[in-house]
Amino acid sequence: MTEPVVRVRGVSFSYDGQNALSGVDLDVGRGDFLAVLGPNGGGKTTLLRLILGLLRPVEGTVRVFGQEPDRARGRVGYVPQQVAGGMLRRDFPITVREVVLMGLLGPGRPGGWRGFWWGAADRKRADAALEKVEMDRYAGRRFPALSGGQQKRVLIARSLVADPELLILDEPTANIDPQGKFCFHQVLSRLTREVTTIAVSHDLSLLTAGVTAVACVNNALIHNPAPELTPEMIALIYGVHSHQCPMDAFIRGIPSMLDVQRAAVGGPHA
Amino acid sequence: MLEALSFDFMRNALLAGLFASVACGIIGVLVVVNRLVFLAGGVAHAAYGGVGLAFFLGLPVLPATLGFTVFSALAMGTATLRRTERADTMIGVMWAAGMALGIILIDLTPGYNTDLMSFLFGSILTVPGADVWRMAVLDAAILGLVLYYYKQLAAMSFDREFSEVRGAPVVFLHYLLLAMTAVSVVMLIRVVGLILVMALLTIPPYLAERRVSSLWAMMALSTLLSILFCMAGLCVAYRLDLTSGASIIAVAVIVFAAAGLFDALRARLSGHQPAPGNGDGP
Repeated sequence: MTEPVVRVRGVSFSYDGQNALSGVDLDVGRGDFLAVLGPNGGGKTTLLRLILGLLRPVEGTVRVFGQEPDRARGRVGYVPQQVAGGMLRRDFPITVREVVLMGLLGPGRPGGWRGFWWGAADRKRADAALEKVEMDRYAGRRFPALSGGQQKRVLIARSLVADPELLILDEPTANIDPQGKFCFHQVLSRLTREVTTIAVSHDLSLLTAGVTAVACVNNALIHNPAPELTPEMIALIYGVHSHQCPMDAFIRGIPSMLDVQRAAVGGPHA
Repeated sequence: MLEALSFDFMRNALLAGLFASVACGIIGVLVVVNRLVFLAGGVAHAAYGGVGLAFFLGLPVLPATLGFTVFSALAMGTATLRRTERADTMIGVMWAAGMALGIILIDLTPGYNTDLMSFLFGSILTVPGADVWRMAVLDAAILGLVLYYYKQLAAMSFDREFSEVRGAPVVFLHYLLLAMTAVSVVMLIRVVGLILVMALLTIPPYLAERRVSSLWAMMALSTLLSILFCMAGLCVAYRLDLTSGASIIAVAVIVFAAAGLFDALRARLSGHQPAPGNGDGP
């Protein structure tokens, strides 16, 4: 029995007395594409940060590749929701290729930290990663000049270039319009066949991107090894914490998502 | 104009401008893209506290000022490390405190020692040869450090959170940058004055930013522009018998305004603003 890539056991976390997660258990197996869904404020970002090792659980354990999360960082590719936390200067001078090359910096590359010049081998790796997300034509372009969806794909390439064994995506389709989302889901679907992926989202349409398992987080977590929302998950969303704003897009999207599920016999994964 | 070059002081002034431009071009770019302009201003003004301390305690001026300024820079750096809301206030407080400390200490020091005017405006035309060569050494050190840490500095400037997750020594680099800024600022203030240092740290990088596509190119263009401003400013000052520091700044500001107008006109004529970001397919 191969060890799960990520194992979360009995985890709780609070921010300044506000309880974000309680008693969360989760296993992510090799080859999974797990969608972590839930309303805003429900704890899914907290769970993400715990898996990344940016936070430590108040109770319980988090193991990535059997180790403490911050020890496993070299094997994890993280794609944040926005570059520079949304603070990117509009005119920052950097090319797409340079953004991707940046992904090579990190643990396991001591020599590569130093100096000024990227070698030809590194440039090839960067271009290969760009090809996987269909952005190779843009390698020499200025990054800030790209659209939101294009930038997001470049950020994914940045994570892929270091050959991660686990890819973590934070709200991958935020800031992308519906048209762009469709193309993006196709790229994602193809990519995730090659690498274990966890994607956190409040957008239910992610379920159409080749997801193999779903976890629903709203303070507690319910896991389903199939790309569907179960009745227990629905109850979790509506039942827990009345402060959840009923106008949350996630909650509004559930009825239509259930229709899609009923209609898609056999599921979207191929 | 060429006959001016026969004067030692003029040659030294030009060299001082050249070396100041290299330091400001490189450090200024990092300061601007990391949004540390206000902090750099704070460091530059607080440096006067170091000058005052040196005279009051009878210490050699340059080492004392350097020590004090680097210390202030690191202290301000701690306030900005996690980008707290109070960082700006802290910098503002240290900015004023440093200056006041310097002025009071000099008031308390008997005898003539230094004046605020030369701190603010420098004395590029009375730069001794030794100072010019000290600046060359400073430039070599800055160039060396920035080349050595270039990839990490660029990564940190572009996306600090990602760099941190990937294990880049972000804290070390943050403090290193501030220390380099402090040292550059002190060396340059002696020669070209506080006002010109701030101008050279900010105007050339702002001009260069959108016209290049990598950080090192921004540094190179910034340095080049800075050199041009210094040369032109010194020419103008020589011809029209004006203060050199202010003339250099005037040239820089005129070019900055002209470039801004040019960009605005070009956008208007081509009939559109740059398209806002939107999602799309390949």
